[in-house]
Amino acid sequence: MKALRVEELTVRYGTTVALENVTLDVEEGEILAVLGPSGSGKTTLLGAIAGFIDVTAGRIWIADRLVAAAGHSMPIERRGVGVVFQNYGLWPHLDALDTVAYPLRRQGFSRHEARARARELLSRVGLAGLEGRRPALLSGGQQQRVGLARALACKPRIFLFDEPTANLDSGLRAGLQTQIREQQQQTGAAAVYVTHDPLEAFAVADRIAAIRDARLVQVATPREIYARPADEWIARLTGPCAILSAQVIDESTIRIGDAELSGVSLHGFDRDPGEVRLVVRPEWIRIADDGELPLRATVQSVTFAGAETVCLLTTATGPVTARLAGEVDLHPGDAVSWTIVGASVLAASIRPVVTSS
Amino acid sequence: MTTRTAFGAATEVAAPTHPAPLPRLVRRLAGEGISWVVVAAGIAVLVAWPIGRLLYEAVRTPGVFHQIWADPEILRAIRGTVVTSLGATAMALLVGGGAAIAFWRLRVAGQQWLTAGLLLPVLVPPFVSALSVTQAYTAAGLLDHLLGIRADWLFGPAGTTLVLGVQQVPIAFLVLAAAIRTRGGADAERAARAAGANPLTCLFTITLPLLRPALLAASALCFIAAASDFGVPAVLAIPARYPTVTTEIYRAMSFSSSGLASPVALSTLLIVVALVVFAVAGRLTNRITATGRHSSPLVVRGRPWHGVVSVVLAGYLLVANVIPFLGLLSVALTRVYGESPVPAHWGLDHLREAVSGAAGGALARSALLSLAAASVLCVAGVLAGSVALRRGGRIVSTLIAIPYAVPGSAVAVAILLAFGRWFYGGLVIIELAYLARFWALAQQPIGAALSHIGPDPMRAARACGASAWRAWWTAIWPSIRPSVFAGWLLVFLTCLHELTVSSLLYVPGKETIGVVVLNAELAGDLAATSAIALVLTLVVLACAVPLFLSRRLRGALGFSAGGMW
Repeated sequence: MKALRVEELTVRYGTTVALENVTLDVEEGEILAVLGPSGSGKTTLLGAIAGFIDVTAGRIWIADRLVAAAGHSMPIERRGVGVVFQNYGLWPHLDALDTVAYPLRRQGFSRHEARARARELLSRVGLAGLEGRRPALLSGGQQQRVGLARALACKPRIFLFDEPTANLDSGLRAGLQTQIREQQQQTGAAAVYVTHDPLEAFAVADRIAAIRDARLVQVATPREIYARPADEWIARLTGPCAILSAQVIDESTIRIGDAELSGVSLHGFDRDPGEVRLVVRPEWIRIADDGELPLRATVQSVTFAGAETVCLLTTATGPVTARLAGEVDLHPGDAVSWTIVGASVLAASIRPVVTSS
Repeated sequence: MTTRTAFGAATEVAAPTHPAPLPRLVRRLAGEGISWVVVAAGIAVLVAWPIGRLLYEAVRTPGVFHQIWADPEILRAIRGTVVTSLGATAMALLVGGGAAIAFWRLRVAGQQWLTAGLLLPVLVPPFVSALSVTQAYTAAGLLDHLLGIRADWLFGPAGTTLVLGVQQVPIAFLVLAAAIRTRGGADAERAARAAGANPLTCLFTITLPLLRPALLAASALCFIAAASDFGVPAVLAIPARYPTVTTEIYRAMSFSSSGLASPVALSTLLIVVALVVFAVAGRLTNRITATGRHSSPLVVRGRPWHGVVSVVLAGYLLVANVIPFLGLLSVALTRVYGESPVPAHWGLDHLREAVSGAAGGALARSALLSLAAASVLCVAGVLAGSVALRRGGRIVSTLIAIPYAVPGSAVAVAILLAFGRWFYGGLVIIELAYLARFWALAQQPIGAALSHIGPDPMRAARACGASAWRAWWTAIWPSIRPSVFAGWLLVFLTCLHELTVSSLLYVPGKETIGVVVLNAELAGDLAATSAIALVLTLVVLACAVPLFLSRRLRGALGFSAGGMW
C-alpha cells in the first residue's frame, strides 16, 4: 500500500496551468520534499492533496482511498491529512491547549480526555507550561510547534507541511526541521514537505521531487539529486555550482581546453566519450599555487564563511566558485592553479555546447 | 563665498544664512510647534468649550434628569429610539454582515456591483432615503399607481426601523469585511477542516468566534448611528406621532416654549450613551486590527447555488435602493402631484423650481458652508494628523472624534449653548457646528495616511539637505494627497446633505438645503420635496464619481475592504 499516489494530476485556474500531468508516489513512513521556486506549483500540489483546491484532471489516492479526481473531491475532514501551514494557521481566539484539543474533540474524545491528550502532545513538542497562551503571546517558533502538535493530534495518514519554517529565523529553522522529522518518524505516517530551500529538503527528506513551471522534473534521494541533477536548472536549484564544457576521455579523465585532468570521479558517465557539459560543485574543486595544477585562474574575490572560505575564480571557461576548508591565504588578483576532483555529467548535454557560466 | 561643486564648476554659493535672531519661542512656534497651538486651540473652541458647556448646563439646572423620568412623552421617545435602533442594527448585521461573509466564502457573481450597491446609502442622505421609500411604497406612490400596492404601515416604527437598517448596512459590511481581511485567514478554516471539522462545525467553532469582536463592534456602531439619526424618523416617525429622542429634541427646540431643559437633558443622555458604547467598540476594534497581517484569500470553488446569493442581494438592492429612487424620480417628474406617473404627465417644472427660488438659494448656502468646512477641515486634519503622531498625540484624535461619535442633535445643542449668544441667526453658527462635528471625518483618512508613511521619508529628505517645509512638500505631501482629497470630498458631501445639525440651528430665510426639504415635506408639498431631494441626490452622486473611479481614493477611505473593489 502506498501512503499517497498522485496520478497524472493537472490543476488549471481558468487558462493558468498550475500543475501539469504530475505523477508520484509516497511510501509509508517516507518524507517526500517538494522543491521548487515560488510559483512553480508546489503549494498547489499540496493544496490538491489536502483538498483545498479542486483538481482538473488526474487522480489522488491517500492510503488507497480515492480522494480527488476530476469532478470528485472528498471533503477535507475525511481525507486523514495533518497540515502544517507556512503562516501557522492558528486560531487567534483559542489558546495552545484548545488548539491541539480541537482535532481530538472532532475525533469524539470528551473535553477532559481531549485536553489531557493535548497537554501530552504539547509537552512532546517542548511547549509544556505554555498551554494557556493564545497565538498572539507565542513566538513564531512556538506558534509553529503548536501547529505541529495540532497536526500530530489529527493522527493523519499523511502529513502535509507547507514551508513550515519559511517565516522563522535561521537559528530556529534547523531545530524545527529536526523536530518535525523526529515526530514524523515516531508516528510512522508519510509526509509531503513543500519547501524552496534545498538545504531544508536535504535535511528532512527521504526523497526530493523537483518541480518547475507546473511540471515534475526529477524525483530522487537528496544525495542523488545533488550529485546527479538531471539538468542544469535542477543543478542550480539544489546548490551552487559551475557548469563547464569538457571532453570526456574515459570514466576518470576529462579534458578542459588544452589541459587533461585525471583522477576525476565522474557521476553519470554512462556513454561514449565526447563533448559534454559538467556540473561542478564548489567543494569538488582544488586550488594550489600557480603552476602546480593543470588549470590556471585568477582570484576574483575571497569570502570568509566560518568553517570554510568561498573563493570566486575567473577562469578561461568562465567564473568558478570553490569552497575551501578553513582559512586560506588568498587575495583578489592572485594567480592560482586549479583542478576538478569530481563532476557530474549532465544527461542532456550531448549537443552543440556553448561555454556558459 | 566660492565653492567648487561636485561637477567641477565654480559657483557662487550664498554663505549659510543664519536666521534672523528671533526669540527662541517664536521660532519654535513658527516651526512645528505651531500645529500644536492651532490644534489645541481648535479642540478648545470646537470640542471642549461646547461639550463642557452642555454638561455644565445639565449639571447646573436642578431636576433636569428628574424631568426625563417624569415626562411620559420623553420616556416614549427613548423607548422608540431603542426599539428602532435595535431593529435596524439586527437588519444591518444580517444584510451587511451576511454579504461580507458570503463575498469572502463564496464565488458570488457580480460581487463588485453588489458591493457598490450595498455601500450606496453612504452617499444618500438618510432623509432622502426615507422620502424615496414613501414615494415608492405608500399611498399615491409609484407602486400604488402601477400595481395598486401600498404599504402605509411604513409610517411608524416598522418603516423607520427598515430604512434605518438600510442606512446602516454599509457600516456592518465595512467593519466585517475589514475584520475578515485581517483575521479571517483561509488557513484558519482549512486547518479546522483538516483537523476533522465539517463545514458547519467549522463555521460555529472557528469562523464566527473569530469574527465575534467584529460583530460586536459593528453592532455598537450601527446602533449608535441609527439612534443618532434624525432624517429617517423625521420623515417616517413624526407623521405617525411615534417619537424618538432626536425628533423629541427637534420638537422641543422648534415648537415648544419650555426652554432648553429637555434638549439639554436628552443631549447629555445621548452623549453619555454614545461615548460608553464607543469606548467598548473601540476596544473591540483594536482587537480586530491587532494582528496586522492580511490573510490570503480563501480559494473558493464555484458552485451553482452561489448564484442564489447574487439573486437575493440583487433583490434586496432592488427593493431598498432602486424602486425608492424610481419613486422619487416619478414624483419629481410628474407635473401634478397625485397623477399617475405616465410619460404624458411628465415635466421638468418641479426640477426648475428646485434649482431656482428659495431652494436654489438654500442649495447655494449649503454648497458655501460645505466648501468652507471641507477646506478648513482638510488643513485642520493635516495638522491634527501630524500632531496625533507625536508622543501623547493619541488624545488629540480621541478628542476630535467625540463630536463625530455623539449624535448630531447633541452637538447642535452644545454649539447653541456655547456660541448662540454671539452667532445665533446666521450661517456662522452652523459652520461652527460643521467644523466641530466633521473634523474627525477629515482627520481619519489623513491621519491614517500620515501614520502609514512614518517618519523615515521626512528624515531621509532632511538628511538629503531639504528644509523642513521642502521636505514635507516633497516627501510627505505627494503620499497623503489622495487621502487629503478623499477627506475633503467626504466632508463636502456630508455637509451638503446635512440635516440634523442645521435643522436645530437655522433661522427662517437662512435654511440649508436639507432643512428646505424637511420643511417642504412636513408641510406636505411632496412634489417640491421630491424634486429638491432628487437634485440634491444627483449633486452628491456626481461629486462622488471620483470615489467610484479612483482606486486610490477608495483605498484612502478604506472602502476597498476585503479587496472586493
